[in-house]
Amino acid sequence: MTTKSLEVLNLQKKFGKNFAVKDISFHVGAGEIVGLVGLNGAGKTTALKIILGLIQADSGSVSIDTGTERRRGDIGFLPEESDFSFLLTGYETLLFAAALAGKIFYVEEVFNKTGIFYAKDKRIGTYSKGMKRRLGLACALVTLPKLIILDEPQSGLDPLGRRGLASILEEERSKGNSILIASHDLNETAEICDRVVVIHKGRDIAVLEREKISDGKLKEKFFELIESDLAECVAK
Amino acid sequence: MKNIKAILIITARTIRELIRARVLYSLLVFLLIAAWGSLFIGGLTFESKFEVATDLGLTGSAFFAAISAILIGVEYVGAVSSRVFWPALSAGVKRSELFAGRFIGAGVIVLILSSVPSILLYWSFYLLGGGGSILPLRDAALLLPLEALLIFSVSSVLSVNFSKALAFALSIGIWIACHMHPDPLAMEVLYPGSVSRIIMFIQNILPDLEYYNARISSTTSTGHFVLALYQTLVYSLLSVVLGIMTFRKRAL
Repeated sequence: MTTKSLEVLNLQKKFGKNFAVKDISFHVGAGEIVGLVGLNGAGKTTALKIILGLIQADSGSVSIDTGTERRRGDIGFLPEESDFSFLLTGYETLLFAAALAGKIFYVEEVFNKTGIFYAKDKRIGTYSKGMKRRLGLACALVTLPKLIILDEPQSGLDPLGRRGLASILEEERSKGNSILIASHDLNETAEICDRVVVIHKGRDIAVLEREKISDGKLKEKFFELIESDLAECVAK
Repeated sequence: MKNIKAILIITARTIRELIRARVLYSLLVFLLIAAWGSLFIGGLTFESKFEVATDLGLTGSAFFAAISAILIGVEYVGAVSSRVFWPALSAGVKRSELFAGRFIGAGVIVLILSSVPSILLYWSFYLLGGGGSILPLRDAALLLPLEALLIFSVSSVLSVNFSKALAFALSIGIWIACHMHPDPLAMEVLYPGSVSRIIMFIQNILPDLEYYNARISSTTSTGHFVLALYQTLVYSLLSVVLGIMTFRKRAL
């Protein structure tokens, strides 16, 4: 059995009277890539924010085990929309993320890996959406995290960028790092994930293992699950 | 040590960002041109052109100090709850470190920026032979940064808890209210009973910003400057503590 790097148990979060997250449980093992898939507003981003401590859950628990004593930079995060100070250059932004974790030696390497080394000295105000996405990914990776959490990582990336992202994730997995991806891009999620958690209306309605999602089966299975859940909700 | 290092890194980044913010320099240049231009206008219409220029310089400097302090507080300290810093917070940077780093970095720029106009005006008027009438500009160079720091602290706390527009509007409102001096006896006549007591109570809680007005105050009295410094430090410290406490609990 693999070590659980991240374990989420019975997570619940209400905004007003509505449940944003209702009883979500899953885990990510060391060296695993797990996907959270669902429609818009399903609760994926809220679940990620709770895991990262950006918002508090009403109930449930999140436990993170990075193998050693927890240090700064052990968790790398790429938000859904990458936002940066446009007054700084890409290099300064990445250096800031690295310096906070005391890992400034990997800045150039990560710039090369994410393919924006050529633009490192330009102000972020001049970056395209795709370049900002790559920079966001670089910020998530520069601290050499053990747990990487990516929210819609493919969004804004061109085909070359998506291919690069897939190979970076493969490399991180081979190092034994754990990766959690929230996405509604079913095809690409199925290609890279070991397991997929399907979320609908704030609940985890299914956990699908690799054999059930490979060869384009995820899309078919996903719609089947959503439709049956909707029918169940209407019946109730 | 780790905390201090993180705060210093965040402070350095904030200072770098603010040095590159062109809006503030545009405001500063506009103010200086207006004050120097008033020397010419004053010379045309009045005998005491330096008095006119000093007066305009003081008003402009005070306005510039307050507006830039509020803008910096709302825009740069308020940014702690924006998406820009989510990855840093997720990576384990404490919210208190982030707030403190942004506050210190932006505070340093506020102090420098709010003293520049009066220093430049005093120095240039002095070289032109301004004499005794320009002395309030020298006092303003010491008092205005303190006032700016105080109102910056207030706007920083508000920006963590409210939207940018609301924090800006509330900060302006508090700045104006803190410059008012209702006479207790007149208040009792105008609003007899508990209303006047409530107004006076609020007035007693708010800092007295007229204390930093170089036209009516003077730092030639060291005691006055020390009291102004004391008032600034007390309110700024309270604001930082309140800011950190509320930011720690805020859902992002």
